Amino acid sequence: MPDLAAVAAAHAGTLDTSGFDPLIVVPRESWRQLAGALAARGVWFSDVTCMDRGETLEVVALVCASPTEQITLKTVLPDGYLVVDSLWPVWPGVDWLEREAYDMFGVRFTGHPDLTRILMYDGFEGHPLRKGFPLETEEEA
Amino acid sequence: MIADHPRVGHVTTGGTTESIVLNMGPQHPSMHGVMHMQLELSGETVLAARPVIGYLHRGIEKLAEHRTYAQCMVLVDRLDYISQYSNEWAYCRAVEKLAAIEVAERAEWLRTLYAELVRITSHLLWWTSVGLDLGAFTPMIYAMLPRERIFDFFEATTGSRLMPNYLRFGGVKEDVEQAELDGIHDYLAVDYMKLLDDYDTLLSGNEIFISRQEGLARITTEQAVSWGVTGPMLRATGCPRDLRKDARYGVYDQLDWETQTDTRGDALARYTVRVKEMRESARIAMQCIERMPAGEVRTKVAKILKPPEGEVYVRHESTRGELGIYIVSDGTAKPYRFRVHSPAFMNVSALPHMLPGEHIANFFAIFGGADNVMAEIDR
Repeated sequence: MPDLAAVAAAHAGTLDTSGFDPLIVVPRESWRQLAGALAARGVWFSDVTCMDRGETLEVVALVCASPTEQITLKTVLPDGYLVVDSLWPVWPGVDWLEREAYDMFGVRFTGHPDLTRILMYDGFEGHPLRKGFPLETEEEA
Repeated sequence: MIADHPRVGHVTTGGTTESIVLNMGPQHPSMHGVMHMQLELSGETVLAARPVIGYLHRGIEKLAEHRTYAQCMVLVDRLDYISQYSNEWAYCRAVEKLAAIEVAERAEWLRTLYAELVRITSHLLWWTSVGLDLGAFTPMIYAMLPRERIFDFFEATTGSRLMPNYLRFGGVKEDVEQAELDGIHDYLAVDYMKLLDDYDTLLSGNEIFISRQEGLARITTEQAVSWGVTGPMLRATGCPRDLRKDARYGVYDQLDWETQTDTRGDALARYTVRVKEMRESARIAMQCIERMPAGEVRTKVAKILKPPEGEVYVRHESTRGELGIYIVSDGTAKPYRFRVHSPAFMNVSALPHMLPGEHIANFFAIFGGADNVMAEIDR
């Protein structure tokens, strides 16, 4: 496991070890740099997703330092400005994961090669996993 | 052209021949499930590939936010519907970790047994289709035999062949009759092993079959890891990563078994790894039945479970690779966020990197080697 406190501090972030996995929260500006610094220390990605917290939206990257050591990375975006650097230059495999996060939450990943909808169809309006998106419309109910 | 902007795997022709776009699926008869593959072809060579998915999207992550933890069990059955016990187990492990629930010891053995049996049935179904994809019809009929025998065992205990809803937080729904256990043990030990030998003579040792697969879509471990590929596809590049060994859940650390790998990294290696896993899973399942202790199969858990506030991410070695379950609890009876990291989703996302340069006739040999299940990809 790399020295997470130092990595977090170098990217203006905080380290929280109270949960099951260590959690690093960084500002949006250092999101890709944080991933790059961890990748340089042998960390690989498992998942990238989001979580709607109402006023804010958390972008979550679940990464692994070894098969059993997981690290959670987060950056918090205000609801009105959902833009963050793509991790695609660091880990090319996040391509589809970020497309899904865009599709489901509306986060725009800058630097992503092909940020299009993936599970919903192209003309679909809205982002289904936002808490404000209804489970069913009135006609369906 | 598939797209106006460049993407990984996209190759421009540069010559005078014009490329064409061929749509395969979502209703193509040899497509595995409702998947749509756009292939840009120059003659018979694939220049670029773009999988179009989402036809089977049921919004399972959204639905789970509106159901209690126990009610979500039927939803995870419907993710990868041919390795249901693996999904249920991954989900149970996540909730049990979050809510600090102890698991009954016999249940751990039963879970390991069921997960390995379902790995066998899943690999058998893959084996039928991999033959079918390359024009061999017989395997499809042959491999249904053991599959149905194992389904009979599932049905006897859970009442369902495909959608068992068998695991519970803290254990499993109910115990299995010893006669059923003995029956499936004897079947695996004799008939099933004999069938696997037959299968090897049918396909694995078949010269035409080997030459159709050898050297196709060769990938390295570095490439596989950078694309997020896991499971048999990763192990076929020589990387022994297997969470059953590494993360030591269930009773895998008490059993005698080996992670199956192959160093060649091509379509044939992916075939070989899965065929070897069919034997190894039977070994694990038989050991489980032989050594399973008696006792309770469930611990006492609240009917309406309210895990404490917090979040958990559990990775689980499902049939197709690392299945990740990420649950965020806000202390209520329903998950605040329920995220499924699907291994098949990652494996299919690697296809645009693997297909360019290959012949269209080999498409299904490569595609079949990804062993995708659309229900899990689309969720």
